[in-house]
Amino acid sequence: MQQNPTDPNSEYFDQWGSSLKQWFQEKPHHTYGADTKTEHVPLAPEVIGHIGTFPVTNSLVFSILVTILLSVFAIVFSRKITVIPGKLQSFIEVIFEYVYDLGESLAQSRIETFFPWVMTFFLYILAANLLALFPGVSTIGVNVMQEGQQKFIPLLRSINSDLNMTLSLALLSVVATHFFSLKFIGVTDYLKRWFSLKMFGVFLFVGILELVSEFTKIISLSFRLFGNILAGKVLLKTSWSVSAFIVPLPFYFLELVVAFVQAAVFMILTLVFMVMLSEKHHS
Amino acid sequence: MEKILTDFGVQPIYLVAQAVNFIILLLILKRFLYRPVLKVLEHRKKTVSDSLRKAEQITAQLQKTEVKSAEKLSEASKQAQVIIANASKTADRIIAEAHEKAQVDVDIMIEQGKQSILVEQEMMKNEMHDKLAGLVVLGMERIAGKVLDLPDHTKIVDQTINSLKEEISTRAL
Repeated sequence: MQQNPTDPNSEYFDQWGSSLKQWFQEKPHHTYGADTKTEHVPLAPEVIGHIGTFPVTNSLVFSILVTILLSVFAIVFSRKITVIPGKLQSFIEVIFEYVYDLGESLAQSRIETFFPWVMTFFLYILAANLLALFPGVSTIGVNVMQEGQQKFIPLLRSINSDLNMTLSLALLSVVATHFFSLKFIGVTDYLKRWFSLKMFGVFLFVGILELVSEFTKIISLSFRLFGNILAGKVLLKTSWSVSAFIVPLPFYFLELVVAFVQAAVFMILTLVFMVMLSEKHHS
Repeated sequence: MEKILTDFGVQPIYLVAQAVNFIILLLILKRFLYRPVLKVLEHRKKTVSDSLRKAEQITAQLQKTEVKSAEKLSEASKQAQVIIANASKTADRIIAEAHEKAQVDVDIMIEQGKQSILVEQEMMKNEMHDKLAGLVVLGMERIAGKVLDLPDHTKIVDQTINSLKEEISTRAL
């Protein structure tokens, strides 16, 4: 066969395909950057140690680290709060006031109860997403031998790229939503939402749909956050594999936006769910 | 479902651990961040609304004061006009009275003057009569060389006076 690039049956394409396959096999040895040990991003978090019998994962360590950082910041900041605010206080006040006013327009006086929850979701997810972009997260780790193969295990893993974490947040969000619903509308009205006295025909179907939608909330909240952050992580790893310099930069900017958007989406959805379920159902 | 959860490494213990972690963070942030910041925001809102309310009160007070001062000014102006009118009337009255009194005084003084002149005139007439009588007597004594008695005196004096009167009347004509 002739080597003709215009002929799909020519040897040219076979040779090109073989060389490309070979390049991919050898790629880890030719890339630059901190994490050149593996291109694989595992779905499950890696266990990096044990406390007694409790297996500690890298995402859990990072989660505790974020919690400590936010707590320390809150404690230090609380001592510096003044009536005439500085730049940082003004910035924080603007965010709080915006969220509080937004919530107040939807939930009226109930925002006093909802605000700590939705704001903590926002701050926690935002801080976790932003800190995950710092150098060292997912790139500093140890090499261990597993099943006869060397495997790289990072010491820190982005919290929201672990389904345990996002699922836990989503469960908390939905549980808190139902708790507030019971608190604000009472047991009778709460149950009426799901189980009508006319439990036949369309009412029964609507009740079942409502119940299913509650489970859907857990899945949508957890998988949206998890999917976006994990995809970002994969994107960044892929860009590192091309080059550790310049190439990942646009993706870092993209991830900054994604970090903020996902935190805001989780917060707003939780707020909306809380508002919807804490209002009396008019069927 | 179980396979999905296994593939994603989902384990109940991690869900609980993360939930506990989040709730601890929520409590810390609520205590140290949300409460103080919201308190400051509330305090500032209250201060601003108080200031606005005070400013409105001051503006209303100012408007009231302006209206009051305008009313007072108008009232004072009216009172001043009344006082000026009264004063003018009083002044006119005083002047008229003074005029009247002066006229009366002048009349009295003129009358008194006239009376005084009449008295003076009478006195002068009498004095002149006496002096003339004396002169006539003295002249007659020198001419006649004798001392005249009372009937002579009287007769001569009367004749002289009558002639003088005639003379004066003639001159006056």
